Amino acid sequence: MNIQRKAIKLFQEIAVKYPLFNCFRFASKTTAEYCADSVKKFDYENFVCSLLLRNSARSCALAVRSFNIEIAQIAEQVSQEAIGLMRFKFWEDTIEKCLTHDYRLVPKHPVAQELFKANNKQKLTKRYFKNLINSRKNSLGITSFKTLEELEKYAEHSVSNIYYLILESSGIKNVHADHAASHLGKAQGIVQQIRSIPHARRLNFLSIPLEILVKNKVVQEDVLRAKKSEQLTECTFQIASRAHQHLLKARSLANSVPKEGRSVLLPAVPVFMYLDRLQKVNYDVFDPGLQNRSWKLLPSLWLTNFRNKY
Amino acid sequence: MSLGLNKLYSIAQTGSKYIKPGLKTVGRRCASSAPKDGFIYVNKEEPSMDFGDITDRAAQTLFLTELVRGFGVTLAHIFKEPATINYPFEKGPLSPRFRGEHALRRYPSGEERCIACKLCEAICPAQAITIEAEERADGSRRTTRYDIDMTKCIYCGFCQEACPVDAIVEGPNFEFSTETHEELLYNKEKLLNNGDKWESEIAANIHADHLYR
Repeated sequence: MNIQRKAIKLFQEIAVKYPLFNCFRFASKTTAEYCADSVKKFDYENFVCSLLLRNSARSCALAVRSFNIEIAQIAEQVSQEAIGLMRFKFWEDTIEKCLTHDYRLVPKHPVAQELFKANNKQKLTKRYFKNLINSRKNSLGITSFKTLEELEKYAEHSVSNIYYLILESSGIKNVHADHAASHLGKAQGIVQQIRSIPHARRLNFLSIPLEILVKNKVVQEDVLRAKKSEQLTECTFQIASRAHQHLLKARSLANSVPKEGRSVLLPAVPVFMYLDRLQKVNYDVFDPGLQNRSWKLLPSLWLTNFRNKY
Repeated sequence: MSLGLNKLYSIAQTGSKYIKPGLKTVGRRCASSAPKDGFIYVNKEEPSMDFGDITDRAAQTLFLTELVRGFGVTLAHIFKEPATINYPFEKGPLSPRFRGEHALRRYPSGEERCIACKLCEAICPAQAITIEAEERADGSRRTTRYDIDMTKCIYCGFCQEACPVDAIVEGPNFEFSTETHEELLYNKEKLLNNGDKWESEIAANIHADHLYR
């Protein structure tokens, strides 16, 4: 009994000292905690990667990631395109206001406030935010991609720009870092689309490009009904191998990326792990094991960061 | 023998689901036609007009077998799950997307979410929402008035979809009938109270765990 009480007291002390690792108080009190909570809930792998960043870069990374969550969810939440466009317009205006230096203009949304703080610490480029919003806005009405290149472009716009922003906030201006981030973003975006295949029916969005479906003679309905087939694994293989190429390219640039920039590109580890597991289940996206988190994720992330790789 | 089987079959048709499945195949094999060209005749067979069969049927009606069969049906229903629920104490299942009474949510810190962007007011097809806003002393823009006329509202859920900060939501509550019209003209205080009351349910319904797009 006594030991238990001591343990609880110790955990509470830790929780007070390090609010980010706080698992006892679920209500987030500050804007930063709100952002961290939302990233933890919706984007766990990237959350863990952000924790390994340096202090100043971490808060900015969480701000950018939670902004990404806000705009990524719009397509799922609205039933009509016009309503979605209204919300994107709101975020466009908000970004305009966040990148000024007048705090009074910023809407009292925790994400907006965190973005404002991040921009005050380190100047952020508006164009990247615009790209993020536009990529989501343009894909609002569509239900599938036509070609693999289109999917790749969407991945680059919707994911790579996040890395540009995080690199910028860590004060790294390096062509090679941006180059690696671009390829990593493509790889991660494509993997994200592969992961969404089992949820295609709920999302009303089939992320396998039509071109590949036609080439392999797969009927869309079979994917929506989660029917396993040889041809579908072939489709998945083709998309996954494109992601793998980008990942390899990003990793091959590792030596030219400055040391402090490498931890920003850590999400390469979960991307690689997912592709690896996908290969082990023979490219069957509906395998239930793929839905679970791997226990290897945390140790391998820490180790990779310790060895200053990605 | 065939009479007995016939009777069992008719009990199976009207009676308990517990004796139905086993008997159905027997009954079908004996009483109805075999599949022809891949089709199965599912309608009721025409009664046979043999003198013996007519006598059998007349006897069934006369000799109160109907009564016994009626008791059989009653007995079977005793063992069935009731189709009704004890409503005010027991509630039916509700979809997480159910759109009921409106509520204004707060952040976990206690600050209200609404930033008076007026998108809900703009999208509302029934024009049930009225908002007035002004700047507070700390520079934040907040509503001074947020009214919803619940008698105009058509519960389309557009306000919830349009809200960029997830402030206005249509919660799971559907039991808010009142005696007067005025009580259904909700103001900001009432909406915020609703939010505080239903927050845990609302938060549970907005659950998702991964980004897919």
